[in-house]
Amino acid sequence: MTESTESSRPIAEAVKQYLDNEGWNYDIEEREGLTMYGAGVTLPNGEFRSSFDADDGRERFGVYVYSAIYIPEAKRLAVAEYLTRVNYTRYLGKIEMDLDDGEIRSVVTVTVADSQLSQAMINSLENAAHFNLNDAYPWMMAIAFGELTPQAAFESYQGRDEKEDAASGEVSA
Amino acid sequence: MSTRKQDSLQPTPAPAQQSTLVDTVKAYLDDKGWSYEQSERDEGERVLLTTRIHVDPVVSRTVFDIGVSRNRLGIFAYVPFTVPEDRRMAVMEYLTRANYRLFLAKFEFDLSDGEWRAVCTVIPDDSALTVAMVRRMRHDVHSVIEHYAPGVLAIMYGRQTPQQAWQAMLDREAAEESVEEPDTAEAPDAEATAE
Repeated sequence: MTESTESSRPIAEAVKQYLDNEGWNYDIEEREGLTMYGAGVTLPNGEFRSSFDADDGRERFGVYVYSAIYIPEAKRLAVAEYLTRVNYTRYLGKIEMDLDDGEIRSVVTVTVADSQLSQAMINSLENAAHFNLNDAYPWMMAIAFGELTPQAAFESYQGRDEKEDAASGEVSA
Repeated sequence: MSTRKQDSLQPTPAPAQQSTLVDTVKAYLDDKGWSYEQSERDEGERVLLTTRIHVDPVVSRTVFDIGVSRNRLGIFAYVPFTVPEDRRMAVMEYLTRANYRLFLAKFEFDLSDGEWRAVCTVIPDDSALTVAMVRRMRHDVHSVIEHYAPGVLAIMYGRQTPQQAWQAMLDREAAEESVEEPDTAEAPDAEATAE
């Protein structure tokens, strides 16, 4: 790991402080000025891998949440259609798919040029990234490994608030 | 190991710093010398500053949408056409590939009417929204349109497949010796012009 001072890496230090305060167990990887804090996370709808990427050189920060399940090639365009519809409804962040290998990830990013990354801001981004993927995940899997169409999946996704009453589960990170 | 309630995943609004958001965006637009129209929605809850910017190859109606009590800013850059129904799946595939590469901005595509737009949003919470942040966000939404719109147009009017349009975009990047994405972190803010 590269030695550096807090003053030269305010974003990385802010992220570390946040994760420590929240009790996350994480590993650290540094590459080309990017500090990546990685952790496994269990949400109500699946298990995911999260990465908090601090880029002090470019004054920006991103939270990436990766699905452990890849989308089979035959279903990728159907899932892409569903995600296109879902993404249109999301304010912060987006769910991305790599059409070449079927990888799914939720991403929320911010630039903090001439500003600072506060603990509240990290919390908002972290929550949004996890919420977006967890929220859309069941229908994504039903398309990928079932017979649900993208349109039917999205209609069900939109109606989830009325039906959802199972949101009281504990989440461990 | 931490344990959180599920409802903690819900994004929550932060304390407002509304006047600062509007003032900061106006300061940016004024500094650029761009004229804009101001309007309000939802009984003053949202302040919209709308301008038209030439972003090769289109003129983009661009809305700086400030959520007053929700303390948030969204920059929405629209292109002046919608994708015809028979080309929407192809454009969707192309934009899915594009979105996977974008850091700050994202494309949103309404499959019901063919509207597509580049969007960048931020909720500053208790951090200050600076002119530099607005500059990077604005630059990013327009640079991604500039970079990827030719491919969308080629799919719509050139009858290219998504794969052909994507490869053509990669070829353009190689020819220009571009990096992996039209990143804007250190980009200057001078190429776009107001209409």
